[in-house]
Amino acid sequence: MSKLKDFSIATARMMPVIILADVSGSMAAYGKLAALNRAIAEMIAIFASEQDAGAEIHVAVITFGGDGANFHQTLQPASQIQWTDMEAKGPTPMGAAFELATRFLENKTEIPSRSYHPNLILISDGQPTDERGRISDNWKKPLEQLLNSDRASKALRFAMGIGPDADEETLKAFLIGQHPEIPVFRADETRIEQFFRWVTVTVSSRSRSVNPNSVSPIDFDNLEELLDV
Amino acid sequence: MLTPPQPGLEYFGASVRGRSHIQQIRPNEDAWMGMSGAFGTAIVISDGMGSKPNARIGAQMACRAVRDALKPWAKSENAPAATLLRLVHLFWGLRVLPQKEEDSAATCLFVAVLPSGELTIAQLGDGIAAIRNADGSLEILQGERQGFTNQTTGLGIAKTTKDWTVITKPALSPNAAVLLATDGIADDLVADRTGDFIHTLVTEFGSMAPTARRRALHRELRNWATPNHLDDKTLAVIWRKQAEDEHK
Repeated sequence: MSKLKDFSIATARMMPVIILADVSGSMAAYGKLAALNRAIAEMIAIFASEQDAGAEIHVAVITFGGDGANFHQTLQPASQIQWTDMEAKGPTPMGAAFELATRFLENKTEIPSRSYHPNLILISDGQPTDERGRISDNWKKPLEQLLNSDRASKALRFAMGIGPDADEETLKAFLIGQHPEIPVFRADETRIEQFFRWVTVTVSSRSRSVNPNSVSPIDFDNLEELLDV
Repeated sequence: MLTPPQPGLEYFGASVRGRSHIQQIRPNEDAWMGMSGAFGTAIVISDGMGSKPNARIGAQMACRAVRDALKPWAKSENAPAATLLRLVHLFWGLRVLPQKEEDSAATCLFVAVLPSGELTIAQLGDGIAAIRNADGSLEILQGERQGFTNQTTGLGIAKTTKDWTVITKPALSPNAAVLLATDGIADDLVADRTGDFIHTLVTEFGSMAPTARRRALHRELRNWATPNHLDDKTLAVIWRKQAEDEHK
């Protein structure tokens, strides 16, 4: 009988996946939000079925639209999530999402220090606005705080711009300073699922790795080959 | 010939390969060493960084470098701890040659008890170094990490001794014990049970014969209760027995 069992934590180390999803009114057009809902649900299902992962993948979704940013899905093990679709409304208060994400990532109660470094995914189809819908650069300071914070800065970051109106400057700024460099993924409503497959393969590969923190994103050009295996 | 520990001092350690390394047919990249000599008595543990090609040797050499460094340092009266740390870096750099230091990166945690009784505990990189005092109180050398697991410094990364955490004490009190453990154990310890963990190691395993203890500890570490545990696991404990035991 084990003499040391009572001294070790009974839960696996977590690998957080936090999605910052634009749910502004424009996301309702051309089936973009419907495609995003499907893609996130599929990703969560794949994470939930991971059999040989060393890290337990947890997922949270922060939505920004209307008058601010909120948790649409609180951080939970993928296997326990019952996904409910997001709804589109109002402007694009992206700065509020960065603020909420930074506060959340810095919280050691929510994400213990024994976790593997998080994956942070930004999705947007337009230019950031303030809460009243006016084009604004009020996202810059919150993003700077995120990129310079102790813990949030260590997240592996991905960004997807949907449609021609997605703001390249914001998405690029979100990815700045990573090594190796990760490009902004440009998509129309038909490629949203492809982006999430890429993120899914990368996160799954990290969770199965001998050193989950050292794994770089999967080369997007090799994605189809990997999915065929 | 092995020199026995100073009177009243006891130590042991154990290191096992983690599941990831077993699955990938890679060796244990942790190391530990216990040592005694004219310099006193010491224990060392090291965790070679998994992403580095020479991590295993880096960890083994970290243990030897501490022994190399203690020999001259203990002879110098009132030499500061920073000098000891500089010597550890120096000897480690020599021992990993011809490999590059950055390819051999490894954490380094050690406890040294000098012949005078003075205690030095030092830590570079993640893991835990904790003292359980005779009254049951606990002192942990480093506070909670700022980032996330497996993001650390070590020999081959740190460029200055300022990256170390060090404490010195006049003595290791009777019935006090110091635990060193790599992050494969440290990150999974229930925070408010760490003192009890040390006490159990000393009372349950400290009294065993070395071979039986090694077998029992390896079994415990291989069957670590945290789900999906992957990392190599290494611990070492040093303690001072009660004074009355010393007269037996």
